[in-house]
Amino acid sequence: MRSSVSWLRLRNTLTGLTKIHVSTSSRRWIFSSGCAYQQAQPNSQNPVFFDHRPAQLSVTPLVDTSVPAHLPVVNAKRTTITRPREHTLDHEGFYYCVPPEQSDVIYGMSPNSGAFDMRHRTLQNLRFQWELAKESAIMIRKPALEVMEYVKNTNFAHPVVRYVIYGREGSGRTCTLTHLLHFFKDEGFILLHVPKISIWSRRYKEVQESKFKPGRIDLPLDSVEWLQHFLLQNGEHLRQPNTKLVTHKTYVWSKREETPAGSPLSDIIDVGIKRARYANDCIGVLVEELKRIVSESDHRVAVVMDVANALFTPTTIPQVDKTTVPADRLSLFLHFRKTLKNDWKNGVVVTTIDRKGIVDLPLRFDGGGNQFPRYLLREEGWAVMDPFIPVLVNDYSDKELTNCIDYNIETRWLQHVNAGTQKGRDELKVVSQNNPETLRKLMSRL
Amino acid sequence: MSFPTASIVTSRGLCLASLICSSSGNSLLLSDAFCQHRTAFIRNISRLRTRTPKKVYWFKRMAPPVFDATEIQRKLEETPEARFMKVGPARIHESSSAFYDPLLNKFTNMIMFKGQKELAEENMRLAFENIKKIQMEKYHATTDVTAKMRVELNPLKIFHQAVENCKPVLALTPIKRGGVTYQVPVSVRDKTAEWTAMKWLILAGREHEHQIHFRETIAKELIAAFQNEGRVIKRKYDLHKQCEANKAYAHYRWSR
Repeated sequence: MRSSVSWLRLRNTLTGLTKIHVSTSSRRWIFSSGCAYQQAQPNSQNPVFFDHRPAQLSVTPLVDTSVPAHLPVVNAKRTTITRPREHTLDHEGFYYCVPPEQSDVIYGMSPNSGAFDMRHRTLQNLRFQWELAKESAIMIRKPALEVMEYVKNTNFAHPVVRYVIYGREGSGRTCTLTHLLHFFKDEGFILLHVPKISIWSRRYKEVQESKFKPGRIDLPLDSVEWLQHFLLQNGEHLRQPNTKLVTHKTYVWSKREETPAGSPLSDIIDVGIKRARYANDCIGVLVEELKRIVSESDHRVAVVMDVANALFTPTTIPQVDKTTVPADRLSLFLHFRKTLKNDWKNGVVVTTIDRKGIVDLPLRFDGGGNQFPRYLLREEGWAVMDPFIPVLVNDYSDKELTNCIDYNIETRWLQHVNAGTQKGRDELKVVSQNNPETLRKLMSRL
Repeated sequence: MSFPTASIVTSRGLCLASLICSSSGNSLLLSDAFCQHRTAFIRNISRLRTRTPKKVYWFKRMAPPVFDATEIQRKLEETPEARFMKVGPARIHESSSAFYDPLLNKFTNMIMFKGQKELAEENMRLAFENIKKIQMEKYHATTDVTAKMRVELNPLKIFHQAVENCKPVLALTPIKRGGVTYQVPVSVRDKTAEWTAMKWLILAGREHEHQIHFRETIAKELIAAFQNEGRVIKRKYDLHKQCEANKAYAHYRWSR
């Protein structure tokens, strides 16, 4: 393993582009085409960080012969530790790469769901970033570390602990969730992941009356999508021989179709995927069965839900009498509300809340946007979720912001001549107000 | 509010002297400087703020405004008497932002409808993002190191080069001689050529199928023009050809 400092020396010998001036202080300045950049040195304050591609770098000097003259040579701070369990506060603000085999799984890269869908705009942006950088890098931030610390010290014999991640718009709640998703995947949890609840109330695909209980509304196509997503994320658990994930009673779908007791849960999912009409009921069965099995066995389930407060607010699905369908008549919502209750164990529930999830909220007159759980969960959601652990996601600290800009320069996304200069950095900081999403938007055109 | 050393300066309605006196290079008025990134600035405040166009007073003896902090310093050192000159107000879009580009601003204004500049800026942002995506894919697809270096990733450079490549050298003007109107080839001024190039690019960008966004087509057009290909370049060559064909009428430009 080669530290980034020695990597810099290596690069100098290869290209001769940069000069290093060694000073007596613990920091050194790198001069490149007239611009000076500070490079942190590892010491007690700044822990050692490693380059992410040590093996490749010693073989091919691929990056640096092609650095255009105007671009500064900048290395973002990274860590080679890819297991989220081992991340500590020392790594705060550093980037780490999700291994490719896991990054496919945590996003459920099925062409019909997950990050491929236009409706998941945040995930899509993250996926573009991953594809363009040819690596799936996530910044390690405090809220994710906080939740991981809690989960590591949880007694799973007790009822599930609920976490509500909240924060300002664009402050990185979904990215925090992604980091946690990787953590749960790495720990061997079964993932019950909904990339975005609010698409079921706002941007649904097809609506149909429920046959199981009249008066309820089903979303067959969306349900099939989610089942595929679930299958992709949890294939290894479901395909295990002698799996404990089996049904405890017979489910009759129609006169001729039924799933007998003792058949694996993957059979239920197959029924849903093949017959979209039953997909909604399959999800209901899946949730019920998982809660029951998990409470008795050594399996663990992580419920990860983005924009969970949408479960308690009305939908936009129109009815004949010109009103909209209330939340307690959408069967998908009813199924997933069951996971939020703490009447089961061996699990963990991590949710985020978002203003945009609420349909009937007049966004313009929201008084600057109240992002607190009591306001967004409303009475009904609060009644279900209470007690929970609130986790605040703040905007970038200055350290994180600098590292984010460094990362974007390193991966060639930030191209503007002034982007790496002190003036450019200061402007990005002031104009974005340290908000990650605003910063992303600003950088996208530079 | 305290700001870092390199901050943003505008000189709207202020004269040079007062600028320098008040701040010695470190300043100042933020509300105008942020018009580059209006969407990024606190959203609710920008919603409440409505601008009514005020009458701009500009006397003949006013010096043109300088809105860059370093430029002001340089100018003052060159001509100390500038300290006592009246300076005209800077335009509302002009700023000392590190990312300010006059040509891009002009282009943004040209794609704008009904004064919706925020929308036009958003479109340009997404167009530049698309350019970067397309070029990044090319960059990663090439394996040869020297070929890799040749892939231009900077969207602003692509934009400038594209406009430069599309500039016509000649144009046709209708001139009436002896009752007949002739299309006479004339040389165009640089400013006009620039305007024509941008207009052609925008028209080419707008010529698209339903449901394809302008930001996608304009990105493709700009990249094509950058490589001296595409519809706009063809249009330029067509015009040049026409001028060549009408060479015989060229003297009508100055003779009767």
